Amino acid sequence: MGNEVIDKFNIFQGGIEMKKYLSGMLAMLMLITLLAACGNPKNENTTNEGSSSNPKEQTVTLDIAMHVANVKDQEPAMYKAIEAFKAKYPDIKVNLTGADTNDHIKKMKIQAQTGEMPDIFWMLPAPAKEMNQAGMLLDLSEMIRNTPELSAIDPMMLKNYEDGGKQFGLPYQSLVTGLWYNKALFEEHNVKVPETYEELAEAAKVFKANNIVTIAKGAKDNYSIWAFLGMFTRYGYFDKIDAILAGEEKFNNPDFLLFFDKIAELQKLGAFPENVTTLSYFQAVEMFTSGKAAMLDAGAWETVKLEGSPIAKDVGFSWGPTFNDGVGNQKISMISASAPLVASAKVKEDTVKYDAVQKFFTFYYSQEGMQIMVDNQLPPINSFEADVDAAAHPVYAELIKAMNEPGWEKPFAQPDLVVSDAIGNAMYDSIYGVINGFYTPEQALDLIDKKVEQQ
Amino acid sequence: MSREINIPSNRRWKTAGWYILAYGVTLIILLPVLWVCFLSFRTSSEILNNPFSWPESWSMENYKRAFATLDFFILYKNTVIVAIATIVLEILITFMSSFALTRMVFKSKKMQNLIQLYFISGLAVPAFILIFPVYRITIMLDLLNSYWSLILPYIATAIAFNTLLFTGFLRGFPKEVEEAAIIDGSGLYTLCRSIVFPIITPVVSTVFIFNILYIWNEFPFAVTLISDAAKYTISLGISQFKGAYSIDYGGTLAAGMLLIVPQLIFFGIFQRFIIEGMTAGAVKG
Amino acid sequence: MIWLSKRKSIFVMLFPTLLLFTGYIIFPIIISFYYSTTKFTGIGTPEFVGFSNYKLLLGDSFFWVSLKNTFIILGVSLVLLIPFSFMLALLLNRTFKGSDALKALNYTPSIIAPIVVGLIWVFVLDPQMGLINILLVKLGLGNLTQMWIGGKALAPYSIGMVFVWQQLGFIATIFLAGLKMIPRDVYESSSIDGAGPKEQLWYITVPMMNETNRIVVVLVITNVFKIFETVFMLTGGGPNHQSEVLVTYMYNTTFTSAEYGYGMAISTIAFLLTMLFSIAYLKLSKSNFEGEGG
Repeated sequence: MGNEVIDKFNIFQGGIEMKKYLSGMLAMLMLITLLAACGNPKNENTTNEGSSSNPKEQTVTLDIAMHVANVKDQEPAMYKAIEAFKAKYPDIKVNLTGADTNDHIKKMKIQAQTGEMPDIFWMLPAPAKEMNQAGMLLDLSEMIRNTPELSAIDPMMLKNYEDGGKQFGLPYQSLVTGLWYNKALFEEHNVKVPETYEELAEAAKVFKANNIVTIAKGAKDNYSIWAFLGMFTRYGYFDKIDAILAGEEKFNNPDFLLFFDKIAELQKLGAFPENVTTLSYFQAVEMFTSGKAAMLDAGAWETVKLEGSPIAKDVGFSWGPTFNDGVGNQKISMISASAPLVASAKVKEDTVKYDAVQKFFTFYYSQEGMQIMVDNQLPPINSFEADVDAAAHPVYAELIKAMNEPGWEKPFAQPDLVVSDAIGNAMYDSIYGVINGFYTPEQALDLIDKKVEQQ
Repeated sequence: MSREINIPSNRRWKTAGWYILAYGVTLIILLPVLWVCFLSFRTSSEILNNPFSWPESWSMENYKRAFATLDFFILYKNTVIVAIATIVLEILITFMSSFALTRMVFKSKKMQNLIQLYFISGLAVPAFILIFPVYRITIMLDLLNSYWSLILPYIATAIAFNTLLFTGFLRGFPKEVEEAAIIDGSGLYTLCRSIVFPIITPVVSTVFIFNILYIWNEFPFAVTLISDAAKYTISLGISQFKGAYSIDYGGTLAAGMLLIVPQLIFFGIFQRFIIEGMTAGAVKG
Repeated sequence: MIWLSKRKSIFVMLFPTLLLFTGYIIFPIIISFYYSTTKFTGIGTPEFVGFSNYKLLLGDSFFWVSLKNTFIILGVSLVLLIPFSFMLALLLNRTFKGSDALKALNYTPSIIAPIVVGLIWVFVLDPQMGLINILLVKLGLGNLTQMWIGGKALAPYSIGMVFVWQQLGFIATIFLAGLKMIPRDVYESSSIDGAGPKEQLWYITVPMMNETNRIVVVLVITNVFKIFETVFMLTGGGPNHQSEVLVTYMYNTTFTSAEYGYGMAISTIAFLLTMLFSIAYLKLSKSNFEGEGG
């Protein structure tokens, strides 16, 4: 009986059955392929390859990728610049895409593996430098030499994105960071807006007693420590960092320890929100705009939001406190190059595309482009004469006022942007570790040293 | 042991108890969702500052913004195409392989178990391990920005789960049923289609539902493999409200609600099929 | 009783699944393992460093924290999720007015996009503005308020609770499918024999659900080891990596800190641990099962 079953259960004996089964499956596969193919007009974007003899008459598509998902709403200046650029050069098409910062960086790195990067994209400095070392990015030196708009960019900012004799990126924006403050709260509690650390500590005591947060911050977004990075430069960060990275010096050194002691002291004074460990940066901003915090650690990018908030008329901008035990110049205004815009090395292979990239950068850094930045309340990168209507844009006027204050010196860069991502993140963790009350200053500094050793 | 003398009023109380329990549990589980629904009618600033106060007015602003930002037609169209293709294919192939692994006889029993374990091991793989290599495979096959770039990895990631469910349930039902069919002279195809498949309809429905919801919410692959806005799926839509230094909580929550509702309707409808599948399958024997 | 199947037909049945699975899952795992033996930022050429990433892991306190947290969540899930979802399935297995709707509604937490799940629970668990602590204070139980998230101790338990909430409907649905597959006449004949509902539950339902139980436990183990979005949105692994689980820590090192090799070493360990636990469980439960089934 067993054998009978074996014989009958043989699909190749029941050949018709098998054929039915196979053809059914094939039909289904074909149907689905068809379905998928319909909605997939092969992406033959780029240029009509090969015939680059008369560049003027060809249309070309520039792929631009940014670090936000919805460029139109979240990076309006860039969006408007691209719209204006398209209007000016109708034969250049722009395919603008974006993803949330983390996803964008991940995506660019993955695409770099196969050389499929977009023509122009935003990138963090450390990975951009690595891409440059791997020969994946376009060297912009020649383009800068030939274009007055580009050679007008602050040489120090350009130097941030120069490595191995190649200019691999251009500053996307001016990175202006510090402490926003609420004048009304300072007046109400009769506290002086702090210029020195001692004044800041005094202010913290008064605000704590009145149940007001001195500096709004959110540890959930551990990168939100801009003002503290600025303060770091007042303890000789740029004098020491090269030696530290070379292994000849430590983060845990007497000068840096003095700085971290100050953070620990502020923490003990209750200068930070009680729930700082669970707050996100967005919630910290909300805390400030709703009048619950006297200061906010942030930067120029919040101008528009602050102008739309109920406290718009009361907002001021400061570079953060100076320290009497600091190292070197204390009057450092944190104006530096933001993360760069870079271009794919592949652009070089196509003269039409190279031309389009050059046109785009030229436009972006031209007076016309600067005007778009100013219209969107961003600090211009290139020298630009603009009258700010203080009545219409009170917060922006405050920002520009602080930027033009005489006697302040710009740093080389923002401290976290000259080290690898891993060390930069260890810096965030260690400063927030002290703010959260989790680490002593020594433990926090050792944490960064450990990361440096691993690199 | 004989307890058949049930006092009617006692039974009624019992039924009422079951009702209260079932509805009560559901309410507790739903509480956070209702909470989100409530918040989705408020401004981002209210959500962060004053989430507990009763709103003075119910604002539709978030929903208007969600509709203005997202092209729901394209998002749904893409998601549905990807989901249908993925699910039809994956149920077909994983049912076939699971059938082979449980109902067919291998020369070596060990080999059979090993292959099953091999598939199930996929459950242990977090999606982020796969992203780098899958991108390369996608480039190699020249599928970037096509529906296939998502369909293939979605099928692959579902194999482990489907195998676990199918093999588990296939092993659970009596062998006599199909043996009878074989003796009747049915081939493999007829056996699967007309005897085995109907019996395991509940499992197929379960697999169907889970996978469609997985695809609905899947983000890591979609964000990496799709750059073309015309191919965006729903999960990419919801990410549109977070900027570099800002997040539109109101918009996110409203978009979230707009995504939950169709899913709920879908799930509600499909629940019926599980039950109908049961009765239609008529596994009385 | 047993019939043999031709090799070719077995091959035809297995081939499509084998091909896709090997190409899209196993092959990437092998590549990831290779990366775990290199120093690599994700750009350029990886530099081979042998097993030094694994050695670094042993001395990395954040890694141990993430491992500990993962185990805490696993414990919470096994103790709470499995019994609760089984009870929920029993409850929903009864047909009554609106039972279909309830089934759908109970499944809602599993439907919600993970980003929204994290967001919801922030408003429930946050020590300052979360629902729980505010309710406690309003009820005059202010001394019971806790740092549900954001502290050093409770975060993994809170995450475990969120996970239980999120998976409850999902696991209950699997139990439900299992319950539906128990032939009705088994219950009918046992009723005739005089078995009450309690006896039926213990002597029929539970043993008949053996396969389902195995499936559920394996799913719980593997899903716990894969938890990502909830933690990422709820605490981001913070403060200072104190609430990190294996996958978030892997994500943060791999993508945020750009230590791709190191991150892949973490995922290799996570993968191996998951396999170890699942296989150990399957082996243990199988011997039980076979003992009963004969």
